[in-house]
Amino acid sequence: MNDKWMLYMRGSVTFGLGLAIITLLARWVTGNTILSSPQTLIQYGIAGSIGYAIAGGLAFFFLGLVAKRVRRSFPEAITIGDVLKEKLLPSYYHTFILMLLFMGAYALMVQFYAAGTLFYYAIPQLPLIGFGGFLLLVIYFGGYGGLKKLTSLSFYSVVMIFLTTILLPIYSYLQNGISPIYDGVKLYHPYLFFMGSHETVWFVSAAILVFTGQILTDSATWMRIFVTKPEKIGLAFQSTGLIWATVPMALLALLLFAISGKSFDHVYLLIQTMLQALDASFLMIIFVFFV
Amino acid sequence: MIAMLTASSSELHGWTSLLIKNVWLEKSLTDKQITQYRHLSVWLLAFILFVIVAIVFPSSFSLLFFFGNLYASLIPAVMYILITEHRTGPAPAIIVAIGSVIGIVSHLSLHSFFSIWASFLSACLLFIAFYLFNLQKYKKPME
Repeated sequence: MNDKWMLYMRGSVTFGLGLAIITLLARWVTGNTILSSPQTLIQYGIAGSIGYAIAGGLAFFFLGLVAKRVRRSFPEAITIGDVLKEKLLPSYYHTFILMLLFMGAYALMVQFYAAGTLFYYAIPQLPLIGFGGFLLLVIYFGGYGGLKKLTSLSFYSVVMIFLTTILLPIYSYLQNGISPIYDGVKLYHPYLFFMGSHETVWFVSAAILVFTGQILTDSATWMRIFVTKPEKIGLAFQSTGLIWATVPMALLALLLFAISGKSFDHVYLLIQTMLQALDASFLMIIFVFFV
Repeated sequence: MIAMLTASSSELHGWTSLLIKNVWLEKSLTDKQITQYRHLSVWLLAFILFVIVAIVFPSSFSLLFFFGNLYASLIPAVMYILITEHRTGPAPAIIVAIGSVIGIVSHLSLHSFFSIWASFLSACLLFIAFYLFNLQKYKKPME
């Protein structure tokens, strides 16, 4: 196999704990996480939002156990396909790979859809042009760049994501005070505090399954597993789970702040409401640009 | 944007690697061909998805659990493949299909979250049955 191709797939370094966590986080803090949080909050309340965050974290914990074992038994593998090749008979192996590719293309479509939606809120006049530019960048990094470039991009991306998710809620809560926000939410949206709905429990348990399935069948995640040092994988996944869970929680805090003073017309417009609630426009730009 | 950019790029990178390494490379391509195929597949996929998104856009956002049944029944399948020692035939693909169909059918009478559990549990049960059925056959390690 040629060098250029191997460099594209594996990069040139073996990941330790830090790089593994950073690249996994960069892979899994997605448009879904951001755009589905308003709907989760309104339909399943605060308990549902926290449950959603915990579900994602649990999925990573579970995957850590599997990944450790697989990494040890297949030291030579690069993609999930290499493992399947050894474990399935040839013709069925192709069926399975095609299924994974189909799921991957679908997941990518959901990502693109989420990105398009954010462009739709940010530049309503020309959403498709912004989206096209976004796609060109994705093609550059994903198709031409290779793992090395992706890793350095991930590093900056994770720094910025956490800058945003820490800065914005703290700024909003400091500016307005915690108890006015709490009172406002209690006055306008008392149903959000309702716990113990059966639907919430089912939602969270189904979310655990869907998250686990998504992470388990994702080829990008497996490629990161196969370049990580075997002894670090368990810890890397556990830490990723813990850190990942803070992102939906931060979004929950921001959303609560956004709806604390008023009612809203439509769930899909909540992101817009949230952006408007950040009143200083540079904060809005930070949110759209970084997240 | 940046979070979405890294997530999508990583996904595209994983997708392309899987496609070329495990579907096309078996014909042993040259360096140049690999690069060509890589660029071709990336542009083609991005173009197709761009068209799809431009058409369905902007409509309601309910995509997250759309393939929930498929994901739920894929968990036992992938786990079975990864954990067992022997080589498996068509069973995983068939059981995934059965599990998803059971989930989608049960969607008619149950809530969508129940149907995800229905997919998962039926696929699990089928794999346990399949494993017990094959226990005798795979007792000796394969060559």
